[in-house]
Amino acid sequence: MTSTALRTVRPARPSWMLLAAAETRLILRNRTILLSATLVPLVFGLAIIQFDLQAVAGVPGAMAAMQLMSLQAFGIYMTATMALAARRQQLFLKRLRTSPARTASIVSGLSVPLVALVMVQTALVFAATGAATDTAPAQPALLAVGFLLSSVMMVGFAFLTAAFTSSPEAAQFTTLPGFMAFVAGTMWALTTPPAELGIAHMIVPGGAPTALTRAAWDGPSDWTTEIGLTLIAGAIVTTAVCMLAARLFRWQPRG
Amino acid sequence: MRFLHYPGPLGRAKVERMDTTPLPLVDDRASGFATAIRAEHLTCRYGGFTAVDDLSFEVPEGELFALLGTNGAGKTTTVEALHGARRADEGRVSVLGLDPRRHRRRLSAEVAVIGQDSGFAADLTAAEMLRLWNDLHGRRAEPGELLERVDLAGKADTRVGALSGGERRRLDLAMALAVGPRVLFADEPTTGLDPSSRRRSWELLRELAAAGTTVLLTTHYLDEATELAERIAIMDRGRIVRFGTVEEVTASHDSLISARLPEHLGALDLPRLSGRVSVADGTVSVRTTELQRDLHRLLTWADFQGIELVGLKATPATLDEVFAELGNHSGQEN
Repeated sequence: MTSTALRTVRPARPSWMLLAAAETRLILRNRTILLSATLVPLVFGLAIIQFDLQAVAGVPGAMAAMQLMSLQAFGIYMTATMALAARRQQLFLKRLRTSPARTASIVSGLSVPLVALVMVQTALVFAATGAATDTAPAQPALLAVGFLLSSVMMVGFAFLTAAFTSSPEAAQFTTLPGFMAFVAGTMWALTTPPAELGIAHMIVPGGAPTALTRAAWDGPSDWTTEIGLTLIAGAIVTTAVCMLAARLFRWQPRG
Repeated sequence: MRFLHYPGPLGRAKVERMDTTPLPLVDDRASGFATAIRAEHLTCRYGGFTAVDDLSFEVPEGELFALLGTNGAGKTTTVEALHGARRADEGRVSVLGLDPRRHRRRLSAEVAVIGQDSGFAADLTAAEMLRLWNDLHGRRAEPGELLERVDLAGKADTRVGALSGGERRRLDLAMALAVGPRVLFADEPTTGLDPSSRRRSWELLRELAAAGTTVLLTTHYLDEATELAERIAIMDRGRIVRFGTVEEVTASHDSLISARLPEHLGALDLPRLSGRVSVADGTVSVRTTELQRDLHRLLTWADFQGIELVGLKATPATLDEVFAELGNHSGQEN
């Protein structure tokens, strides 16, 4: 019981939108983070079009899956880890925790700008891929689901990696194991024919989004096993990563 | 400030394990105040090092209370535990009757924190940072007006990373003002400020307190505590070793009377005084806890003798002396 009632905060706009607007400004004003979020993923995504994919899977879906993972690994995973380490080092995250913003709003506000940026880049790169291969996604809705699942997974991995990253400079090293795991997971899933994909392919980092993207572009051969199981496995892995990140992530530097 | 159970430097209270049940606010309005901040047997450790050791105190609503101490005394850890930035290893804390960790969001509308490190996004401008803070708190105040109050109007479009340390402290204060808090935790808010900015910050803290904000201030500056605080607590190695008003804290320490004596007079010629008398280079010094009585005796004696006590000074004990004594005490124990 307090002597007078506590005030209720009613921001003019949702907190996550306020934070996302601030985060967008911060990304645009920091050259390192801006390059990491824009130029690097875009160059990688477009460069993949030039690859001879016959050696990998020989279909445009594989190309799209590789592009998506490259764009998200650079644009979301590595950039978000770097940005989180920077904001924490500046004690900005600690300050945000003294604001009325919910934890979910803070996480969304910090993540949405990068996810939106990568979404635009993905649309551009996929358009280029479609033009180069004279194909189009067979299941655009499934492609969107794969993008969202992958985005959430990348954000979860970014918070998890940031738990072990003391500074933005250190992020260049701490993200390497995760990045290699995404590359390995993606390549493993792509070098396996869709009909032979098992649960092991789905639970490795990047495995489920890769399988979904390839199936969405080329057309799934079996909705129940190929898509249903992939979605379930991907959702379980993403949830597990996010839960682990929520447990290990610290809002302020370790003292 | 009222102490719930202060065992003193020699005693040790029985420590209870942390109970996360929110504390009800003790409403003492019948006696004129309600408790805004409460610590009960608060203990915080860093590994094997105990930074805060069994601390218990209360700050009633509307009081400006200062926590003093040397570096490493445990002030910042205490403040962080009180506003919920760190978990208490033992004991419990409450702000406005609520556990600050469990009720972070509810309290955030009422509590402002000025930390030792400001916690700004370096690439936002001062005005953008302040606007974001206002917006998150649902406040409509214009950043320009707040920046003017802390003499930062000319820095509105300067990125926070380019502000000096003192300017960042003032921006921090502006953000606290933006919230219009019922409770303000200010951890060394004037460190790094020039004298004029310090005075301005003092005025703003006084204004907040006058408007009913409870202020818990930590500071290294003894003059700041003397100037602002209604009550103080001095921490040493994680424990409170002195508390009360400045007058109460200094009362048990010697005041000093000093004056130059004529050349033909020495210590033996002086009247009987309760304090310790010493004469060096023709200057007599009397260290006494009975300032008024000894001063009266000395002046009466001088008058009777027809002597002028050149450069006569009577100085009550100050916090500096209390601090110096605590420092010596700590040094001896170490």
